[in-house]
Amino acid sequence: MSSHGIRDRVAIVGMGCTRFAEHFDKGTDDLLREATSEAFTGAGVRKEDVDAYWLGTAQSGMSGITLARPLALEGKPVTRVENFCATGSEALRQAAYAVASGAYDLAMAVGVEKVKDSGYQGLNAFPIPNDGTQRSLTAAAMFSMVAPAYAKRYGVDPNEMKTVLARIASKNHANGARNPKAQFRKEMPVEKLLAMPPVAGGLSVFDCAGVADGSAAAIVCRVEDAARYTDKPLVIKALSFVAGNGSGLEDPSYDYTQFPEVAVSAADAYAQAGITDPRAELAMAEVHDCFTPTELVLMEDLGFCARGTAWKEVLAGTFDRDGELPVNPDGGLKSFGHPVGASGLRMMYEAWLQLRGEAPEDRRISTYGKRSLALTHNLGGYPGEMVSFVGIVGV
Amino acid sequence: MADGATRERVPAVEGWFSIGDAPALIGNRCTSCGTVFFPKASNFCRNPDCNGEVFADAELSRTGTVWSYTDAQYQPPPPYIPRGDPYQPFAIAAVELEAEQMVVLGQVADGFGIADLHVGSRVELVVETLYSDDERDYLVYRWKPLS
Repeated sequence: MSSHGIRDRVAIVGMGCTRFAEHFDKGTDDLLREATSEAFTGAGVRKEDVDAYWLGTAQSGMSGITLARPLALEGKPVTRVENFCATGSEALRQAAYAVASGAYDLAMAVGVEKVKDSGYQGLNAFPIPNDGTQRSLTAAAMFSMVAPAYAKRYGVDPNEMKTVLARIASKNHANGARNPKAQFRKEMPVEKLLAMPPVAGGLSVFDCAGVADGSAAAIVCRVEDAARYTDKPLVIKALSFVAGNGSGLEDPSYDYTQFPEVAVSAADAYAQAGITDPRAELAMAEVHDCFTPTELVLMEDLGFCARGTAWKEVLAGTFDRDGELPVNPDGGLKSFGHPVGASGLRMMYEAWLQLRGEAPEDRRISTYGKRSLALTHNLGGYPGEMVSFVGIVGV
Repeated sequence: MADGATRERVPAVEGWFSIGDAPALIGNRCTSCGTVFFPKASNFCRNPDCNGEVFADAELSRTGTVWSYTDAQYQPPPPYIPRGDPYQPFAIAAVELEAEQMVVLGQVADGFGIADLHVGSRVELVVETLYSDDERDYLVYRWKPLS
């Protein structure tokens, strides 16, 4: 038994992404059509040419009909997938594996979420009956618990910890400000962020990802066919996924300073891709910065720096766009916004732009032209009980 | 309570049907391929072979033939507003419109049940009260069997 992966067997040959925003004038159908149409046009294919579709949405529709209807697909297999906030990545993973298996020549992964006029702000719109013992805190509250635990374990002064978190938000806002498709396009200096009132624990609303409507799409084919569609394909090196078993909620040794599911999926992805030193080998990473403490801990879980050192690296600018390893150059969930089903594919869209040299000059990563691999990391759930996806692509 | 003669009569859903002497469903027609939609299409044409995005409002046929039918013997959950207590069952017919040949589902007119319907029988569109408040009667389209 082993996780073999599909290194160098499948390529992304077309992508699309809507602006992430409060799209009060657009419905799920419109967002799906906009993202897929950009991907079809880019790859020079028609919807009829794509053999199978995977649709990721957490709460904007059920079944493949959610995509087949607005695209008016005729006789196509469409599979709807859901895996918490990693739903978009899951759609890509399934489409890529389907092509690698030989079952289809051309497949599309689409992610969408339309939450802004659902009458419910945020997630969890379909509460599923349970035994009443599940946590009922807000997502912000659950992730805010990471900050004091991390500061205590590694001896970071509480005020310094606040600055570290503000530094992460400020970086992502600076990147998002340069991105026309981002939800929030304003730079936010650290001093301003430090003055924000708290909403949960030590987190202010500016420590939280934007909740947005949006859609993103990717077309995949076998690597040997990629030249038919583009001269600059994005080759899949690794797709890894771990569904946690919730043991963090019962295990007294789980201390909220790390996400074991992420570390395991990262190790698997690096093994699939043959990466031994991610910090030196990756050109960039898009990570799941749902809240600022999440991004902090991810830097360690993904092996970008040693345990207990990410806070220093953040302050040193290691993960800035012009730093040693740019993280979230498109603005991240923080500034680009987080339409749950679309986020994983939105991350891949930034890798698509950056590695192919299509990101605008003022948002280009420092590593462009020197390194050729990008990582996307997408998680869902909460500390102690989460799912984690890690994907690696290259040109 | 306002006097019955002066009560305002308004559609329960604005823009779906007219309420004059000869009421009709209001759909729209794709200006590229001519496909008719009810309820109205917006933003894009659902015909798989058409890329049209522009639509013109269209009044639909007032008569049609019954394609199939059923009734609701149990009271539906809200937002359904019961007509009285005890609950009175109502019939529902799927009707193929005379000219457009599309099938539109609707309640059957007051006083008629499934015993009055059969596949292929002719019906016409009428407008009747769905529910009322102190000032207004809220109207809905219904299918009335033609003898």
